[in-house]
Amino acid sequence: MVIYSIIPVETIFQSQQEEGKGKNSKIIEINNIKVEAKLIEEDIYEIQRVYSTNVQDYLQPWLQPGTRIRLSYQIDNLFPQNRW
Amino acid sequence: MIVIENKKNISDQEDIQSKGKAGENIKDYGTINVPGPPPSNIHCLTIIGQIEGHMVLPPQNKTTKYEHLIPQLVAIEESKDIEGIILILNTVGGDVEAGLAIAEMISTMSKPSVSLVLGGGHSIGVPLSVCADYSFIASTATMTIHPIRMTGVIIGVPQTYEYFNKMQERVVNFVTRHCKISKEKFNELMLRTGELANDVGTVLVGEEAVEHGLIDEVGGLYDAIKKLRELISIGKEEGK
Repeated sequence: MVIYSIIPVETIFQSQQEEGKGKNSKIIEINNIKVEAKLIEEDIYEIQRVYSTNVQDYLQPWLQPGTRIRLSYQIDNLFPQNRW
Repeated sequence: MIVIENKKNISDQEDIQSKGKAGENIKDYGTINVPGPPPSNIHCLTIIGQIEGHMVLPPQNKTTKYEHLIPQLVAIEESKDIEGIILILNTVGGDVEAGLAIAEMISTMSKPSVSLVLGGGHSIGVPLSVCADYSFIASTATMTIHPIRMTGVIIGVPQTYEYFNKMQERVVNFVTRHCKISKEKFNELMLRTGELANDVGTVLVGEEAVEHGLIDEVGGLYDAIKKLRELISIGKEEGK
């Protein structure tokens, strides 16, 4: 891989030594719109960035950076024919 | 299965999801659904920070990932409603392969594209800003043209130089193919000394980039949108 940038390579790869300080953010999809959200606590995430080319998506109040969302997990019955 | 629920604006989201239930909303919540703005026929692609390619960069870097952009470009090309694309650039450079891949994708699209360099379009940002059908630069924006640098373990053989020259040629060829600058002029700017503090190369500010033929025009958002609409209408007339 060749990096072609005005930022020195040492600066780009600076924090690689400081392992463990993960970004704590993940990319999730809400109504088909990809957003990057940062973990705040347990199941609550804060929207950081919207990944979309549709300019209207950036005007949606529920996608504004800083909006908090709750991610919850739901267990589906994978074998509906076998009743638990 | 992941269930997403919006804490603050849960009722808003429900409103959006249940568009057909306008009557119920008035009855239950005393609110009405105001129709949103009509979908725009122009989509916007923002290229910011580092261009991230084959390697995930450490978290302190702000990045634009090619795995996000490439499917979006395919979707734009396939969409019936989208007629043009505007590229907003403020990048410090990044992965050569990823940058060239995105630039090639945009330059080979059938839909008109206009780029606008704001702040900076450095290094690999140069091919990305010239790949559009028409390019604009803000009068305060800068573009740095410099050679690819070597990092990591380098074997002191002539082949190393040959390899880097080849990598450099890919970038130079792409740029000279997509804008008015000649190869000689571009190489001269790239290898100029005395402009950058600890590197060879040139910094072009706004108007200078236009003078050298790298960018088509100095302008802003309004100019870029106007030009894109113009290109869309030309395309429609030709298609008739």
